[in-house]
Amino acid sequence: MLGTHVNLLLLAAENVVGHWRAYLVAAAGLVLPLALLLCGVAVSEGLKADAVASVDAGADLYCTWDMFGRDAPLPLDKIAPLADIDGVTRAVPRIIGRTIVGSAVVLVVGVPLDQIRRAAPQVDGRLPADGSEVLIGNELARITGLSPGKTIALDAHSLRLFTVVGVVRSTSTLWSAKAVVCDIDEAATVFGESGHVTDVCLYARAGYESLAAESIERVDDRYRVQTKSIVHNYVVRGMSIREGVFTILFALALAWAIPSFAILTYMGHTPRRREIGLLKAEGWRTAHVLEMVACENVIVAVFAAASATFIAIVWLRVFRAPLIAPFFVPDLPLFPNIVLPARFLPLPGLLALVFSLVVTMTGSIYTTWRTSITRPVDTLR
Amino acid sequence: MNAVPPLLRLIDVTRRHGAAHDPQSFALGPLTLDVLSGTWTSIVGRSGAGKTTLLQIMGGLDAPDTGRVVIANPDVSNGATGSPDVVRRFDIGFVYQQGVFVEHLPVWQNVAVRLIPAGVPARERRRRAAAVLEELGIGEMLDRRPASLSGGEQQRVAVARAVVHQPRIVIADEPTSNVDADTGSAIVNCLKGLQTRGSAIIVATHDSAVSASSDRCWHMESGRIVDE
Repeated sequence: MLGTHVNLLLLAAENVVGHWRAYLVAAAGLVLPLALLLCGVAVSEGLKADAVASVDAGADLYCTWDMFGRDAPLPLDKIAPLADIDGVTRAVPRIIGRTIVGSAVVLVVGVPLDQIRRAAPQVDGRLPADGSEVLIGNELARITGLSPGKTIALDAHSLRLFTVVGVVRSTSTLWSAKAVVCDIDEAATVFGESGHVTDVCLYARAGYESLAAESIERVDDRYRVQTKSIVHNYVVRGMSIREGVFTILFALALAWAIPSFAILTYMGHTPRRREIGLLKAEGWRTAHVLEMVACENVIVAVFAAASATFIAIVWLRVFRAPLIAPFFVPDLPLFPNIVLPARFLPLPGLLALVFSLVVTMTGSIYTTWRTSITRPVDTLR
Repeated sequence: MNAVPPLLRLIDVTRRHGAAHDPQSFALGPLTLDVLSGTWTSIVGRSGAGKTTLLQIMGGLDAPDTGRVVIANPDVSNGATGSPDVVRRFDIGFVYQQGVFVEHLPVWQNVAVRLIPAGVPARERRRRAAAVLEELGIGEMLDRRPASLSGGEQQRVAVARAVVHQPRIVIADEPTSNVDADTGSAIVNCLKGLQTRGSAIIVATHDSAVSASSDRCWHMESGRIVDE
């Protein structure tokens, strides 16, 4: 009994090799969309993990101001009461804005200097010692040629010159890859908003997050507070929706692969039809023929999924995910010049295998069955 | 009363190709025939007389429109008492008029292809194929591809495939046409050897030497046996 299955599997392997041209073309049609799909999912997972890690390592609460029912910058005099809330251990105001350096749109992040030192990001160079010094993101350094010791001009409301003293090295700071991190007072001057901050990051004692959030809203109902878990959920949901849309697009592309596979491997393929007719004439049961073809499909599907995974890794690591990356990070060009964070998880690989199996099985089993149940005299004609 | 029951029996078999009113259509039968174990039956007649159609129905490659084909007990026409696939695999060996092969497989795989679903290991399949091919004088061609063989060699491979499982019935459709005298002789000897071991040999042929050596000879015309 086992011998039959082993024989059929080995013959299937010989058939795949024997019909390698047809199978190669069919597998290539499968590999290309699968590779792009795996690449996209890996980028999405990488970005999601990055963002989640960033949220997890960040503040426990984020506090802004309510103006006309929407989030608005927080007046400076509203910061001090936050630090006095029971359970809050630290309140860090931030100014976050955008300006243009050269031709690049950059994110300006202003935080108190001591907080920069406290966060201790990994940098090439050193941390700023006073307000005239800034850190820049590695992508900004790459595209502008800035490096420690050079001067950068930030011009939003007023023009200010700063000395770059460090380049943030970490790859997990994609969001700040084109960022300038400076002292909060300098940021206020650059944007001409000395009376407000964008938000306040609050750190709370373990277990006090919810209590602190309720207490803040009791102090003044115009405070708008978001907990870490809410931000975490926003990030994950946003990424998942994008990934879902991406996967659906590729599922449709793969659906087109089914008839292509059928045409390339079976339908109208006279030698193949005669082969099946011969096997039937030689006493093979329809079940034997179907099992052999199913084995061929498994071989092709495993090959396609493995090839797709390999190509996806190369596409991502070597070529930096061209065509795919802009779908997930809209600011990126079609051919990105930064290495994106990516995670290759087992599940998408398994999904690729399942997709391949569905395409190959759907594209061949019915036509094989039809051929198998036809009288040998007709298929051998 | 016949002491030896027929191995193969056709009962009122008919088969039509094309519509009845079409002058180009062809009708076989009705035919009622018996074939006994250990006999050699030749079928002769002009091209288009119905020899191939009759052989295909006997071999279970085609089904009759009416009537029944009984091999021992299994009924290959409707599968009521035995699957045609099973009957073909165990009881029948068929030599096709034109070489039909799985082109990408080597000769030994083609010869032993019916042993694959039986679970016979590759080494044993190769050994059995080699033995038959040796008997037919082409033992050295085990690993060649069918397309690289001459017509005569292909015909011998086809015969080897039909007899490798020692079937009770061998049906051959013009096995010695388009082959040289030596090849024809090797094929006939191989089939004779099987006949002596009790198999029934049924051969459609234009070769008078083949038909002359048979136990019975059916002459066909327009789908009917007109002389025996």
